[in-house]
Amino acid sequence: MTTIPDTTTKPSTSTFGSDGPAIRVRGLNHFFGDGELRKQILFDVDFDIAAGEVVILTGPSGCGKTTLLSLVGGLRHIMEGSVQVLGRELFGASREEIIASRRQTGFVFQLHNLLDFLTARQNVEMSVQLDAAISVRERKHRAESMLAKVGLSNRLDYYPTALSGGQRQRVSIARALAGEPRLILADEPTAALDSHSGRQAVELVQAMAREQGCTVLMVTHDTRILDIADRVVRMEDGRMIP
Amino acid sequence: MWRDLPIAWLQLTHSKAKFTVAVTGVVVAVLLMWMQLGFLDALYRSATSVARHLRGDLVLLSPNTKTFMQLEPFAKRHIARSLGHEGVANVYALYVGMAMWKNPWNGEKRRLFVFGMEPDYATFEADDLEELLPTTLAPDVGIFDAASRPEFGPVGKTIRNGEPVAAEINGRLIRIAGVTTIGAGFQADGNFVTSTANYLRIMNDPRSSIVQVGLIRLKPGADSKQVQRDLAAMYGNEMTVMTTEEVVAREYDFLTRTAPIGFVFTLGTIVGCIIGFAIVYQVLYTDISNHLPQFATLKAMGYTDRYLAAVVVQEALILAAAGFIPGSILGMALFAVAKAATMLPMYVTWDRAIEVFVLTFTMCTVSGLLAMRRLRAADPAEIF
Repeated sequence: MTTIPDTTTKPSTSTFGSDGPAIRVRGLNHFFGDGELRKQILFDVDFDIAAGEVVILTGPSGCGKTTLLSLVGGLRHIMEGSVQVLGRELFGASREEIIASRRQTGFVFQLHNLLDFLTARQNVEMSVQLDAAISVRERKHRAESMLAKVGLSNRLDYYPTALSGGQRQRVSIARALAGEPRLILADEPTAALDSHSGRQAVELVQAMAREQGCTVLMVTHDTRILDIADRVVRMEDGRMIP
Repeated sequence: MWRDLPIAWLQLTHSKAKFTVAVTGVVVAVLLMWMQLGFLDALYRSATSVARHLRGDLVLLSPNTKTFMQLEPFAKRHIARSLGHEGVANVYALYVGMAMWKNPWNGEKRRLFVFGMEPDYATFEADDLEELLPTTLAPDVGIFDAASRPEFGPVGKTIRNGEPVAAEINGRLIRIAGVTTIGAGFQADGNFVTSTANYLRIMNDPRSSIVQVGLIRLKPGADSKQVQRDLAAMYGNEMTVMTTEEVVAREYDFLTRTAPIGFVFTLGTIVGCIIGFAIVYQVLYTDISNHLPQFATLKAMGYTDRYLAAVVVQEALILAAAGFIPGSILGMALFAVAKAATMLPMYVTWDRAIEVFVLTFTMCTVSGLLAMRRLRAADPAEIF
């Protein structure tokens, strides 16, 4: 699963097989604002992430790394350039294709963004039930086993408000992975946590991603966790640092 | 859909206090609708109580008559002209006037409708009237409407107990031979039926040639619309020819459109809807606003806009259902109170229940659809 193909020699127009890169970005430009206030955020960004790779994207605040993450996640409209995620071109993609791409992606946020009216188990179930083929029993079972993996089997029926920050982040990691995504996008997953729980959280993401063979792109400027990555990519002022 | 987590329900009921407030709002709206629609219906029933009881196929009225509250007189000879039509079986005259009734128990005076008709044909379809009417062949005898307001005295009760009742009408002592049921209205509080001869005596008017209503019975198989057209052509602008259904519809129209009272109750129903709408909208809007990042997260996970919209509409429908049942129970209880206090014909009917149900769900769905626009602010690009 984790073979790293030679992505640089492939032509950008090719379609990817299962061993192709998980993410392939070419000539990506992005702007905020309109008219005279228009400001370029990303400048001609090129990069590839191989399937199964764990990559940390780091750089100073405002360098455009979060924007890049939201473009790869299909959460933001792509203005110029090509973004291919798991073989699907997102530039000019239809709504249905964008939604299909989102469903193959698990998101871990700086703020956990759990639904406060759902229990830990129900929050995880929300990502499982996107797959209509899974029965209610199977859904509950999978949510429970995901929460067990993140060490929360004794907190299944707790509402987020009754959990600590680290526990909430672990629930959101369980949620992101429960849908068996092929790609995990994480944005500053340690920022709201103390160093110990932060470390625990990213190690969880890394271990579970390895287990499921899924690719991870994590944005952070927490230098203490860089060692969990296969590769660290730096950005500055909207450009990739080679 | 059914196998999904019921997140609309879970979100609404997560805070019991907020849910209670929201449901209470819907209950108040439902209650208001019941009352206003109940009054409107009572208005309909009472405004049309005389018209609805007319026993005939076609009605002749003076062209100046716009409502039964104010019947204009016309020459009786006009009625007989209809007999010339081959579809007409018989014609009848109905005399209508207002007189002063003196309550024999306490001497209080009140106005009531007095109807005069030939004792061999009851021009009203009403309880026991046909059997009682021949008794009015005797002078100064008549039939009282037991559905009149209680201020007229316990006439019905006394008669049913087998005791005699006599009362002064326009200063003339009249024996009450029995009671029937026609219905009190907004325009007159009571009704009294007697023979033409007694009517003329009570009204102190010797002119039997002036009447207020003409009734036509058609031969079996006659086409009432065709006869109506023929007679209307014959009378020209001397008489108005209407079917009994048209008379009822016109009475209702007059009260709800021309008279302000119908408008008041229609407005009351609208106000009820608006109150419910405002409360449901407020609840849903705040709920969505408080959960924007969470809804945006659902979108990022791959939930569609349609899924989220359905959640909002489901919430609206849950509120409608949760408010409808207690609101309707309270509404029915208040009906009983209002009916006892006003003698207005207020009835709980399936029609009314369905009407309130439809209004409640429409109100909640519209608030849900409007609150849904708030979902557009749930932008998954903003949650990172």
